[in-house]
Amino acid sequence: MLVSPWVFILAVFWVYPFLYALVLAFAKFDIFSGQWRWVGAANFAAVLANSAFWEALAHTAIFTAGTVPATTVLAILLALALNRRLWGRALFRAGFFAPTLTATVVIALVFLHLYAQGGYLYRLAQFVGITVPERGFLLSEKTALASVMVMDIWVSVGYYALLFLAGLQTIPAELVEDAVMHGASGWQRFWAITWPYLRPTLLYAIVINLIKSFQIFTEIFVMTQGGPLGATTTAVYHVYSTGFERFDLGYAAAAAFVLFALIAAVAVLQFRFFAFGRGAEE
Amino acid sequence: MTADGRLVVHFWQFWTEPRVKAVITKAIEEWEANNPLYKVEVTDLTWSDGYQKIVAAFAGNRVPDLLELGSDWVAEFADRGALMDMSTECLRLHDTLAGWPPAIYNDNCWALPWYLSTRVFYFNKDIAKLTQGGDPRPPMLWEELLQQTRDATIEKPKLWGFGVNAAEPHVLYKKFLPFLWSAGGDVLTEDQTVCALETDAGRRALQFLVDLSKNQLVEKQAALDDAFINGKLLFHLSGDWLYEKLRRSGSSVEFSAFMMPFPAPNEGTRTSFAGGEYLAIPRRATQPVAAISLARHLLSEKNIFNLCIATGCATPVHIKVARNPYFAEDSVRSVFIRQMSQAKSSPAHPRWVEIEAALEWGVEQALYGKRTVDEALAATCEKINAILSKSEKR
Repeated sequence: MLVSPWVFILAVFWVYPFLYALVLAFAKFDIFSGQWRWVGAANFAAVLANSAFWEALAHTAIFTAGTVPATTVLAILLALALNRRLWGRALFRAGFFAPTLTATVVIALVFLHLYAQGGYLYRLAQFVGITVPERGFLLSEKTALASVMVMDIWVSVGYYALLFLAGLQTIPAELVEDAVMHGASGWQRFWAITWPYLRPTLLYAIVINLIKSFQIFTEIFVMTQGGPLGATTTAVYHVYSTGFERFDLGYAAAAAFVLFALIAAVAVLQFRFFAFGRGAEE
Repeated sequence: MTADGRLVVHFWQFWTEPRVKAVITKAIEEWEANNPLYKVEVTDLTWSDGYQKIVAAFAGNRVPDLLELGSDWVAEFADRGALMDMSTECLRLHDTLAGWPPAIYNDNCWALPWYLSTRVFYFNKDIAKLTQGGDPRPPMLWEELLQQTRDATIEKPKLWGFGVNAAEPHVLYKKFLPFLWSAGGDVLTEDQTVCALETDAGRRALQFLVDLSKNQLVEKQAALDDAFINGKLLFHLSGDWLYEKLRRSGSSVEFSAFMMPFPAPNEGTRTSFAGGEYLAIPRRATQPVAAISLARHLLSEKNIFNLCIATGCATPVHIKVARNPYFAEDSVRSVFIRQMSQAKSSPAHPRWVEIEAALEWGVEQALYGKRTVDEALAATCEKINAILSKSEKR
């Protein structure tokens, strides 16, 4: 009885759409007439044979490979810094976490202006001597995706830093004191004490960040609409444009399930790599 | 039905700017006062996702009674059997309103023109004086346009001759089509079965746009408009909204407007792009009679005049309003009216939205130097012909 509202919400907003999409993935659906016909695996075959899908997947892979490691490393370094006794530590923590509380659309719109020709980031880059693309960062096919990645890292670092900070604060102080008394260097203390305590948090952070990166959409929709020249079309944007601009819902559903399978496979591999469950207990 | 027993007429429209919305609301209130059995419920749409919302409404059978559609969408919705045939109403209003071609599909009329727009060249006379001196004249020919653009592109202060649209869906094709049509080309053959871009006219138009765009300001439409307002651009192909922005911003730029130049002496035409917004009634509307009455009211001379004042439109859809001195005697609005008489709309094809995307892809390929003009046109035609071959006549 107590869990029934949650079950209801789960059923209506997750189970039903999931099953409906699964049916759509095996059908050809006319959105105007509401008529549909069974086409078997034809939509999946179309997805796998479509070079635009693989291109979108490649862009997603580049995005993920570029943002997840960078965000993780920067977040750990930031957490270590925030774990020290600093004046104004609470203020710094709030400041770094602030982007997480801001709507993605708002951040994307701000960066749209920062990156434009004549925008602050554009002019700052020119000032420090960085070669800037003539058209602005988001209108040049060579820099558009990287620009969105930089923004994503800036937005995410604070959130993951707080996660790692929470992990750092589970480390018993006596262990650290003991290690210091025995002459362990900073690196030795990090590797022998800090790292094992951070591993569960690291696994969580990487899995969550990876899933989020594979689903990158809002920033692309607001800032580049998949352009220029398709350089920022990611997998989810490809699903969106085929489903909601071309209304090929069967294809879009199939593409979404292919993406789902890929993300699930990567998540399983991650769990195996990090040997889930082994951490501080070792 | 409302609590007081009135029948609800659902109206979906795209005008959300407060100044314009107020005018439409007042017009609706007047109609309600004259039709006390009805209450109009207005749903606002945005151009970023309005198309998707409309299609979702049709899919979910939650259609409005009166619907504003973009000019490029009418054929698609008509082809799907989603709209009510309004041929009788169109005939009734034929001599009162302008801008009919996008409303006609398969020899029937499916919508009523409500708002029309075209594109003209804005000309920054301050920059032109730097390069031409004296009393600068706008170009009459493509070659003159190109030369003046190049002459005006200087580093200090940073000025550009021309503003190029890039990486912005549903905008770039409106900048290419005027050159294509002026050169005598078109996107599709007359029977709309094959791509017609790979012609001398197509090559000439795209090559000219590529040449015109070299080393020029590449930005999205809003940023290009701002650049012109701030006096950074010599030429900018834009719509009547820019004239309104220039007037309201208090910009100190001395400017004028001129029609599309001719491709060459005694050659081609001065054809620009014509677009607009149309009022349609879904076939499954529950209050079609009331919807027609509301549409007629919104299309009255008074309401079209008020709408144009509020929006800053320069090409009123009502023929009598277009003759009003406010439009006909203004130096910029009169250019728009003359240009509209030589403007053309996108082909009324049910898959135009996909064809437009393919066209923009091809133009972008050439503008970014990824493909030569011939390669870009060939690749674009391949995409367009693939779309056309999948089209089924209903």
